Amino acid sequence: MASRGKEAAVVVLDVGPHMASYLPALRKSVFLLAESKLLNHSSHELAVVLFGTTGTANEVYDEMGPEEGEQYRHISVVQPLACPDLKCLKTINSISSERGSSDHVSALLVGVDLLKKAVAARPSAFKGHKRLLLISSFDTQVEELDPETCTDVAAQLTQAGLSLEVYGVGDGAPARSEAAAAQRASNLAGLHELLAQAAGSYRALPSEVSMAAIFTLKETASTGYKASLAIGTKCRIEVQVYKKTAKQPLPSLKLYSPPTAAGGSGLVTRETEYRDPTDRDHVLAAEEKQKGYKYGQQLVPVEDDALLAYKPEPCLELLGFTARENVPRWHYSAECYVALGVTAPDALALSALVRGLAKQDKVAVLRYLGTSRGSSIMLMAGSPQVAPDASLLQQDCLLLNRLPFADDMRQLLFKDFTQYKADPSKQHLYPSTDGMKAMRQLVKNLSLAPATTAAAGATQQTQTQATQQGSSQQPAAAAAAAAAAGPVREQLVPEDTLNPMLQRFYWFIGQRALDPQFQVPDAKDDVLAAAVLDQAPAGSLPAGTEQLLAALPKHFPITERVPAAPTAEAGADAAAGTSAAAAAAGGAAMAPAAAAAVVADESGVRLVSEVTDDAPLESFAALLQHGQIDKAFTGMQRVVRQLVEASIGPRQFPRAVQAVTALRQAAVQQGRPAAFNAYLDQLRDAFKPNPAKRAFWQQLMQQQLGPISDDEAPGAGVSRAAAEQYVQLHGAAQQAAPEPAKPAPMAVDEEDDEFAGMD
Amino acid sequence: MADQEYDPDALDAKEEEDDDSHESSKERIIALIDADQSMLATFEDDGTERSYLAWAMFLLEQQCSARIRASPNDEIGVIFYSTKQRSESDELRSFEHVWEHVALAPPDAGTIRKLRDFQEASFQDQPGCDDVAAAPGRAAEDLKNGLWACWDLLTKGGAASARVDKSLLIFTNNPDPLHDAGSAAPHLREQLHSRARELGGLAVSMEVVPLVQLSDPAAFDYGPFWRGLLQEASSAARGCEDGLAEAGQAAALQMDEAPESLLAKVDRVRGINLRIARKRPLAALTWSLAPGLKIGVQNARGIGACGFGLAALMWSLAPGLKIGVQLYGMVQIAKRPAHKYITRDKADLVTSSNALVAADTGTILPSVQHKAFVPDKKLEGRFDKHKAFVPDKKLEGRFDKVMLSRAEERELRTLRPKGLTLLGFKPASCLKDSHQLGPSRFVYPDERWLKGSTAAYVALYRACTVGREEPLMSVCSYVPRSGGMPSLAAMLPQRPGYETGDDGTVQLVDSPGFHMLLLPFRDDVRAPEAEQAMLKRLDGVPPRASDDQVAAAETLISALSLDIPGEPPFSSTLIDNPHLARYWQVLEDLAMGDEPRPLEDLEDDTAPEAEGIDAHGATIDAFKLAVWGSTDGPPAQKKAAAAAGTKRKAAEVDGTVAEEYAKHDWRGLAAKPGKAGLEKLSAALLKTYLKFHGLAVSGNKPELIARIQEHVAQQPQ
Repeated sequence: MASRGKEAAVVVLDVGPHMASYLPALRKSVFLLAESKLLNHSSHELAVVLFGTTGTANEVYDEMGPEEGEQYRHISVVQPLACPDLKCLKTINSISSERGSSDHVSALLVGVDLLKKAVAARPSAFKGHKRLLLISSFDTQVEELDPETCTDVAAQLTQAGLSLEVYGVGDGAPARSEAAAAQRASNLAGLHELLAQAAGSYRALPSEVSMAAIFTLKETASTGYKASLAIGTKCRIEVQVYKKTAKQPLPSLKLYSPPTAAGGSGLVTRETEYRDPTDRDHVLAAEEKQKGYKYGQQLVPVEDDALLAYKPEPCLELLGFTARENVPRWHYSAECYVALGVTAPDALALSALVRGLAKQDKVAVLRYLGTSRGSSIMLMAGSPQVAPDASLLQQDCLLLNRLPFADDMRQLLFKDFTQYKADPSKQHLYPSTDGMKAMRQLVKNLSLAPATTAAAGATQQTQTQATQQGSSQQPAAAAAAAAAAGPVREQLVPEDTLNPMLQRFYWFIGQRALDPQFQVPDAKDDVLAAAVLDQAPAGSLPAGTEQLLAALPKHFPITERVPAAPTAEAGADAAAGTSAAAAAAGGAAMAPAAAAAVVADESGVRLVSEVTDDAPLESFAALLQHGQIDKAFTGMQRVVRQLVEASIGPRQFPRAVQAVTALRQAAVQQGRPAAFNAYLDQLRDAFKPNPAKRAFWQQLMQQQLGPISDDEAPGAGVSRAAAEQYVQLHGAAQQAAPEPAKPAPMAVDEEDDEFAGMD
Repeated sequence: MADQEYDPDALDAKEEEDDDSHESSKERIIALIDADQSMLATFEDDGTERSYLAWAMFLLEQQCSARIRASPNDEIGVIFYSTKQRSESDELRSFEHVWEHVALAPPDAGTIRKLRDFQEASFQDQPGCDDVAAAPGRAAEDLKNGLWACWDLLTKGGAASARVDKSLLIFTNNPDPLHDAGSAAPHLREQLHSRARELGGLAVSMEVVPLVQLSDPAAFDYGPFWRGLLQEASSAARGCEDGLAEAGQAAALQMDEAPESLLAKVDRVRGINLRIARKRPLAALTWSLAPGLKIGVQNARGIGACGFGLAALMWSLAPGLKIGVQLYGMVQIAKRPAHKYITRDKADLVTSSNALVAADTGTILPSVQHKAFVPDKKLEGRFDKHKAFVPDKKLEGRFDKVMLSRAEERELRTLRPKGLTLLGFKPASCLKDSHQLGPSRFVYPDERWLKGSTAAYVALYRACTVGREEPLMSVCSYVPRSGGMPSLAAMLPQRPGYETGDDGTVQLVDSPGFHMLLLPFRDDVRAPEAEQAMLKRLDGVPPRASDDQVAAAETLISALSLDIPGEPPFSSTLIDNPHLARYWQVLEDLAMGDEPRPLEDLEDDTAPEAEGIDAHGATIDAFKLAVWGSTDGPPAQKKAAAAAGTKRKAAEVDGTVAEEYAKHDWRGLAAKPGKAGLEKLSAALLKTYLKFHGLAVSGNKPELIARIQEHVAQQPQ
């Protein structure tokens, strides 16, 4: 996987007319390949050869002339072998289907020729891996690959030190026609013959998803750390320890503020200042502060960090062996490492241990301290990974997984729900017989792996990696039978599944680099995300799944609760329910005291118990949504007054006005106009005469937030004209402030109070 | 190795923390200790003889120490009742025969010192042990005062105290303080019960620790007195409508059930299983089982060493079925706390303020609305050169900055809403040991939010386990928070596990439910075991052990088994992290103003028993013989390679240092300047000189050369 040194890759892509429907997806893959080279492997070089182009642009044709080079027509080198740059990305972006016709072997030879020439010109530049990627649907008629040519091409590939990666586009999906299917079978047979003679691999790309995401975006060369596996003091096996997994992060983004002056970088840094707590104006110099550690509430100055450290010699020592069930899988608590023998004798000793462990179903318990700075002692479970016997490429190795210390464990206990069935007070927490049946059927229908995988045994463990490294792999068999009796092959295998977020991120960065106006693509349209993160559409699942899924909610009625202040009901449920629920209810109860939101649901909507000061609009809306109308209204009214009263100058007024806007709107919708009108009068009485707060009232009036009229909501008791007059009267100017005659709406409000009371 | 590598996602992780609402994180504990004469009787354990009072102090010292590490905000107070004198403090002055030994506050070094330095003799001077036998009913009267004082202290802080978990530990050896009260008994009992009810109403969990049972289990019977008192407290807690009483209820329920063994209780007092004391979900998420069926899940995260709740989530099971679940962090890697900055003169915590500063102008920005993707330095360099010289030809750089607004960033990062979505099922064996990225989470239904979640969860659990020899795991997609990195997760069912204790009680040790393990993507997996470059080292063909060799290994594996029949099975979770142990050891000493204990005082339980392993010398030799053909070690491949001169680096191996050293005329080389001299040798070769002479081999090449030249110059001709 990982490559060392400078890599050269030649992409040979079919763009003939039959490729039209595949090209958008393939273009994306090739684009991301180039971008990943550009950003993450900036010394790697890439060339792009298209075949099936309308025109012709390649040196082989030029050299041989139109007569002899006829077979090299309609092949174009659009990107010579070089480190990719923006121009290269642009070129790839503009790939579209063309009208030429050419065969893939000729195109392949153009690619080989291109690479050979580049190597000849700069022999020292290409020391790393050399790849040739041949991408086509292979379902058009081309000259058959006779054994002689095949041997010749294989020899050329080997001579150039190229490994050939063949991607069969559409292989595994229904063919366009029977003839095309036959063509493909024959072409692929030829290529498999070629792959048998030269280094390389074949991969089928049956679906759009597989075409749009072929390549990983960053390949990390493995760096090993030396260690010697000590069995007591008398036996040492020299090993190298590598990381087996490491989360590939998204490229980091830096803070940016458009530069004011030309030529500025626009970058923003975060700077920290330390100040004396007793003298806020005094910025502390480096020598005026020191490190301290908290011991309880006490801050203990520690001059020398090393004093607190425990740093034994780096080691990989065996504590002993234990049965696998003593190290539960869920105890593994960090990324996985792998230990490989350094020399052949070491690898042999390791192989014996690994196979012995696999046979006895045991794991080694090891104490490991890495050599790098900042590493700390870990207890590791060394579990065997036996290489498949057929693979000559893979070693037996010991996988190392961190085990938790006593300090890392939280022994939480939850109620044993398996016993709810017998407990009459808990039966509502137990599924019904029909519900169980439906769930069992769901489990069956949503199978992602053939049931037999379990029996496959230890030697198959790394099969997926083997296929990835893959010599050659039978193509067409894969997808055919997928639908009916569950998948033939395991789906969503971690080693085969690309992270949709990484692909999306790089795609956006690359496209935006070309076009600053490029918009963030809609997440819904992301085919990879849909394939990896969503449940398969019911149509692709076994018959009856759709009905089953539709029926599930009936078997398991779910009611959403607004975790309001704890009610008797909630308490009773929690007591009768699980201890987790009980603990949770405890938590829910604590929140209202803080007048804070309690939980956030998946859409980020806060479930609240009160209108809060910090997010009045959101909490108000949430409460309304959950039918807590009274609470919402009284809460919002309180918040508005608080905002205005607590405002320093007019700072909070806009927020308060917003809140009133929301309140008014809700009053119209909920049919509570009278209550709003009454409240409006209260606001007027409270703030209009107050010089410091008068501006708030004026803002309200300017925004036409007057009383709700009968036109807007029946029962308001204010005519439209009266409402307009109210705004004019009270909003107009300051001189209106002195009390004139009692305004008409006020009287109406009072009449309406009895209605208000009914809400 | 890079277990503490820079982690760009750490920032995200931090955001996650901010996202979730924290639940109560504080506990208030009062130890109410009977100071009656009878507590001065002594008891021996583990070779130490102490009075019961001193034992109580010892246990509480350990509790304090555990709290300081695990949850430093917790408050602990130690109050005696039945003392001769009363406390002078304002709060407690009105309670006769009540003495405050440690004021209710977060424990610190002073608290520990006070508990550690407890002396019966000075205690008898002040405040002095009362003799309750002297006056009938005195014991009950004193206890009442003690309870009253505790109520006062526990309610300290008004409304804020309502959100604090509270517990009261009563240390006494007196099974029935009312036995001598005579006719006053009913009245006193009612008074005590009313105190207990008040405490129960505060959701205080009350516990009695009769240390005398340690020496003689029959010496103390909870009897009608204590049982009655605890009953009052628990029913008051249960009757309490306020949801706050949940914790109290749990405690009360516990009291109803079979009384736990005193040893377990003592362990808890010592803070040994402090970690199980509180159960907090990390976050609530939903788990969508099918498009629509979502169960609420809490996503648990450890806060310090004592927080567990991560998050509540929605788990969508079907298009119309979403259940609520919570995630709990049962495994959370405990790390050394980060340092703080304090002022050098007064050791005050410094205040820090962050500012966003425009790199170009140095002006402070109030907020930043954009982010930029800035390509690698290497590319930037190329680009900058262009910009510096030919400003117009910006695009000649291979790649320029890419700008996006914060809103765009959010949109870009939001691929799916927060939650869990059920994708399908696989046999558990599909989960390889290498499919591992971080600590697991325990998923448990969250009934309070989406009612009905439990039933769906249980059905799912049963469908994955019941009637299957090998359980099924369910595969879900998981988005930890809105805008978070999506990943695939395996839900591995765990069957309930029960253990029979020494006293015959059956205890649940493994809760049934799903463990959620994050799965790597192809982007996250590496395969060094199948890399061509690795194979070259092994002469191109990966070695495979023969059956005989495997058999020898199996014998070794059996001989060095950690599973000893009759002993509890091996578990790493019984071993303390030596790094943390040392950290706390030294910090505690420094906090007390002592010299740090020497490193030898540290018990490192991770060290293998080398002697025990070496005792199996014959088996180990047999294994070596089988795989290497000799009991010395692996055949000397590297030496041969070095001798052949193919790999000069191999000279690093000790045996060849001398050989390699002998090959060069060091003095001659050192005399010549530049390329003719030492510079022509590789760094590895230079190191052979240094190694040969036992000098440091660190540094870059010029440093190595300088060191050699210095050394050569010192040597006599």
